Amino acid sequence: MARLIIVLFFMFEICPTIAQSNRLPITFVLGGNSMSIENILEIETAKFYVGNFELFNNAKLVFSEEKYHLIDLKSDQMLQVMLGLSKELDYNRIEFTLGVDSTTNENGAMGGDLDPTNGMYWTWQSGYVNLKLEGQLGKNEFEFHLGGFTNGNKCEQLLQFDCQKGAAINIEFDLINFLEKTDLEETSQVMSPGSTAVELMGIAKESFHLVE
Amino acid sequence: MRKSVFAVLISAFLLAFHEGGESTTYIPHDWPETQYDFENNPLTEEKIFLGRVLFYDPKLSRDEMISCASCHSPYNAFTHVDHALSHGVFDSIGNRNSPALMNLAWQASFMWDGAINHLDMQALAPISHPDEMASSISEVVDYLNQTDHYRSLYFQAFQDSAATGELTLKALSQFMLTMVSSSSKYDQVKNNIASFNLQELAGYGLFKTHCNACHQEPLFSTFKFASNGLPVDTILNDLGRFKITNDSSHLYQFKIPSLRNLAYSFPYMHDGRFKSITEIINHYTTEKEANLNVAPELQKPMELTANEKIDLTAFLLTLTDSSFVFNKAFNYPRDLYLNLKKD
Repeated sequence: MARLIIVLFFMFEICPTIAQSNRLPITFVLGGNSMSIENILEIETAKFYVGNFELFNNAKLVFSEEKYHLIDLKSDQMLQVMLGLSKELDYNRIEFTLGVDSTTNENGAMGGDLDPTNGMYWTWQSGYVNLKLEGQLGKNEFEFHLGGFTNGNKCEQLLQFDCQKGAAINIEFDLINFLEKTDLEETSQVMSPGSTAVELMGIAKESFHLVE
Repeated sequence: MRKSVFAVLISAFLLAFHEGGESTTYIPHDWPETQYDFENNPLTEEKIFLGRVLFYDPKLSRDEMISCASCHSPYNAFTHVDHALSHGVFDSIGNRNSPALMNLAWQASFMWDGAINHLDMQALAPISHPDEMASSISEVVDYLNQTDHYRSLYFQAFQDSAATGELTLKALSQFMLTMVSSSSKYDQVKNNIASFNLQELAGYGLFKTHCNACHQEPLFSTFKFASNGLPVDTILNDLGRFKITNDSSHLYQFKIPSLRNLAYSFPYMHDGRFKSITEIINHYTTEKEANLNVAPELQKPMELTANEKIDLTAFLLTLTDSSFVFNKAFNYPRDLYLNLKKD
């Protein structure tokens, strides 16, 4: 399997003005410039679900989309979510979920980004993997398949960012921050729902940042 | 998820009928509401047929030898006989006895430990398990998309020749949803077209006293989870539902199986340890070991005389539904392959 060696992931100009457009692109990028240790990060997999995008204008809900999107930070084709908006729409806040909700997890077979052929559905038990990270940081290999939707194991996260109308939205996932806070010496493999998955999804949530 | 499915009943004992491609699974009039949401996956003749072809196709497995039907043979009420534990690709042995498949629309969870929460997603487990079919849904879909007759079957079923994971799983569900067993002698008695003999009647009384709490009529299971006090197999050390929930109150609990078609579905229990109905009944009349999290209903052994055991067995055999087991609509789709050969 091809491996990508990333020390820093640079984001280029992918934020054209969208003032005249009725499409709002939300682009996810892999970040890691908080790295304080000299390690080489090798990433095999960095995939996650985002969904239920909502836009607010001064706390008033002005747009919502009930849909899940699979983001694959290793695939150029799967980095972006495009929302269709009316040009007149004013908004200053965006919210969306990281992970798949309980209802969707109980719905049976679904297609598109939720098709189980995407490798983001457990087979030995029911449920979507919300966030899948596999690779190696320094000497430590890691394998995180984080998900869970039943009572106590529910780990879908709500992400909220202030944003500006007219600017594309770029959101960075700071993987180094996630791995540092996870403490790979202690926990390097989580493959099933439970309290550890819930805790790590909390760390993942804090590792997403809006890039100005 | 609980949805009612309304179907006009021409007969409570018909499995299905077809009208313009649409198909309806008959719901016997006195049965509870189904758990499966048929509105999400309305049955059609073409989708059911596609599901049937998939069910019998060994090429879905790593060594091209194991199909769903390998462990779920129609002649055994869709389980398999001879083996306590089911076996898969390259003669590997699993750690559980494959469950009999029937009346699946009424069940909210699947597998002995309830690991799967929807019929559509159930097939992912055996497709992927290294000791069963040892493949993956993406490899299966790749194979289907490269196989001419499947492209045609998908087109007939979904008006799109491209197989996807979603459509494949839904087609398999469609076929499995037609596996309704509701034509046993018991059902005929309930519908006043047959009557129990004295032995069966006495057995029915014993059943209602001793068994009905867990093996509730008319499906002959609550489909909940319980420990029936089987001593733990020290090699398998199967913890049951606990492995899924991590909740110690679920230790050694397994899904309560239906008693329908018991005559066809031996061996019994999650690890296939019992070969006969007599062994099962003797288990329930025996004192249980401590620390097995035994269900409250089974704390005290059942008290049954030798004659009562025979009566109870006679009743259990009235749950045998030979029209289900020998229904040709469930058989290997021989005609399809004969026609393909001709072409």
